[in-house]
Amino acid sequence: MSAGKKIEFLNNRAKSSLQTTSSYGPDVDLANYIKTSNEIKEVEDINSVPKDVVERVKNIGIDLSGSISSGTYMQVDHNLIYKKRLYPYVEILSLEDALKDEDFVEKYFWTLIDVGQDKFTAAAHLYGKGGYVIVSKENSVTEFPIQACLFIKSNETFQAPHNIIVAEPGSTLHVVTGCATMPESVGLHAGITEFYVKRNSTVTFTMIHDWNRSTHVRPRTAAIVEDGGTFINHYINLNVSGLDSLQSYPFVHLKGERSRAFMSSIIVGRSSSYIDLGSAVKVSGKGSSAEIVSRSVSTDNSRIVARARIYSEAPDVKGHIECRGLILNDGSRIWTIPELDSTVKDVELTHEAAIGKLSEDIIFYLLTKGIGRDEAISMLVRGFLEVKVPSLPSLLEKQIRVLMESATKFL
Amino acid sequence: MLLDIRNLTVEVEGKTILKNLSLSIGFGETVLLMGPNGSGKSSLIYTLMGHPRYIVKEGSIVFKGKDVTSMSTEERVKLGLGAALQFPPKVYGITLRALAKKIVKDEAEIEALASSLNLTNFLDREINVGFSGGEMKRAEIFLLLLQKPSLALLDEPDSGVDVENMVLVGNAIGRLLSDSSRTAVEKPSGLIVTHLGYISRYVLTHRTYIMQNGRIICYGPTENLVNDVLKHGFDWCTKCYGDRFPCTYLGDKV
Repeated sequence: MSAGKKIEFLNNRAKSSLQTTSSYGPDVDLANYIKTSNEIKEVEDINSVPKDVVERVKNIGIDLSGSISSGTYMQVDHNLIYKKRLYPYVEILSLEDALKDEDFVEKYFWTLIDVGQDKFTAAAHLYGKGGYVIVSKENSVTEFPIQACLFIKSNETFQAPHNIIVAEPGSTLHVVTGCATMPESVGLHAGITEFYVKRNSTVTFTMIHDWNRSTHVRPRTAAIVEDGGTFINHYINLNVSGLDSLQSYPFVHLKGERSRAFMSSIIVGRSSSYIDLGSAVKVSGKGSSAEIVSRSVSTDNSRIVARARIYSEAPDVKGHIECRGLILNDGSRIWTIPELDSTVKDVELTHEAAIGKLSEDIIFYLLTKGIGRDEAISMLVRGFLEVKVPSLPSLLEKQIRVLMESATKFL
Repeated sequence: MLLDIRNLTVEVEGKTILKNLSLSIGFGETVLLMGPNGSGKSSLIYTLMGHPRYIVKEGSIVFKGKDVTSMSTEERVKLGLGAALQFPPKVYGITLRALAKKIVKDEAEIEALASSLNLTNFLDREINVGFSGGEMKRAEIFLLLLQKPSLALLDEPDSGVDVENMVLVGNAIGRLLSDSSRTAVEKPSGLIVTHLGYISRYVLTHRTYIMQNGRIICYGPTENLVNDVLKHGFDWCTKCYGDRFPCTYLGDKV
């Protein structure tokens, strides 16, 4: 299909899907959020990023000084306000620019995700603006992560950037993305992200979210991994501000032989948040492996659904799901749904799931060591949330640790 | 008196596990508490530390002149009680170093102490996860040395410990209880629970209590009593208590 035809097809399919509700999570009335939107404005200078935004994104680990990153993309509402590239081997483009290339449209635009999947994908295509495109060149290695930050600042905003990440063969790319809202904003976020992890390349994607109480979040994410490729997705939502609802079910297709996926999510449910988050991996490449790890902590009246699914149709495949939930008080809820599915016999698919409370004996133990009760609990919760993610740059690991430290203090 | 336990009766899930128990420890004094497995020694330590499952039905615990019987664990620790548990839990997600740093700020002190207890390689491991018996004991003593309690409750520091570890653990406890940096008034006291008595070779203790079925059945000077018990077993003690009451050691004090 030519680029023009593809766009036409996408437009039509999206228009006819605006009423399609998602299979998961509570419904959201799009009419409350979609208004006439601004055009994307591009600003080159860091000093033009408003101070309040700079402060707020610092909390989710985004450093705009540029000292510890290979490049930065920052979008506030619909405005691309900052885009910077520090190394020649990584291309950072706005989606608008990338779509000028017909070949790009044909290959990468809405290729992994069905635009008609639900109203959120449809609206993202029709009304969403902005998004980044990151391409790592063949055999290149980024030492420092590329930062991408998507921020909702104004009221009643529908933010749906479309991001596309392409790791050319043999390259290693680390991307860290922070998404947040100003405390007073009301918004709906439905970002689309497509990953193309080519032969023998590695992509780590670390997502740190902090949405506020009146935000609905419906990201749609998919990745395809070719021979020998590795895709690592690490999602952290400590929900410091207590969002309204979040539903997402990223899908990874391990198409290539000896390809590998590691998907982890760290979720804290607070106030009356409704979080329905999953990871699904389809394995069709021989000798591949998939691991899904989730850690959920629920407090207040929050509800968390932790889904995980590994489906294998190739031999010599290993897959493991680990879902652990910690319920801090009655009235909150954690529901884990691990699924294993195979059409071939030569596979080793396993899962473990557990839900429980903090052990009183361990709390007592820490009390005897002079740790106060509140502090003991927050130390244990933080420990519970610790997931060892493979391949992350150590600097990023440190950054995440600092964030976790401050975010779990309030539990 | 630093610690004065009077007529203590304690229940766990409706079952009486300590019966009318009285025991006292003076300032700077270290006493040994011996008894067969299941006699209630560890229960006494848990009760003293204020574990919520251990319900005091009768009697009182007075520490530093304050009635701590219904105080929270946090308050008791603040007042100067500290314990090294016999079976400390595995604490996933928290390293020994992280816990040590919550107790003292000084990293150099942590490093030096860890090194003296052969624990340097364990500092960045999760507490007690994959530790051997001896390593667990050392880690407990290590934390207690950082805490510097006025009264150290040591639960079976010498059980499940091999010979080399015994020397390390024994010397560390000796150091804990004879801390020369602290003044005579601040000099720590100790209650050491043991069913083997090995620890008495490393630590100078003044008196020994013998426990059986949740009661103190005998006490006396450590030197004679420990030797007799090690020679004749706890049964001898029971017989003494049963046949010739009041027993040799208690005399007519009971």
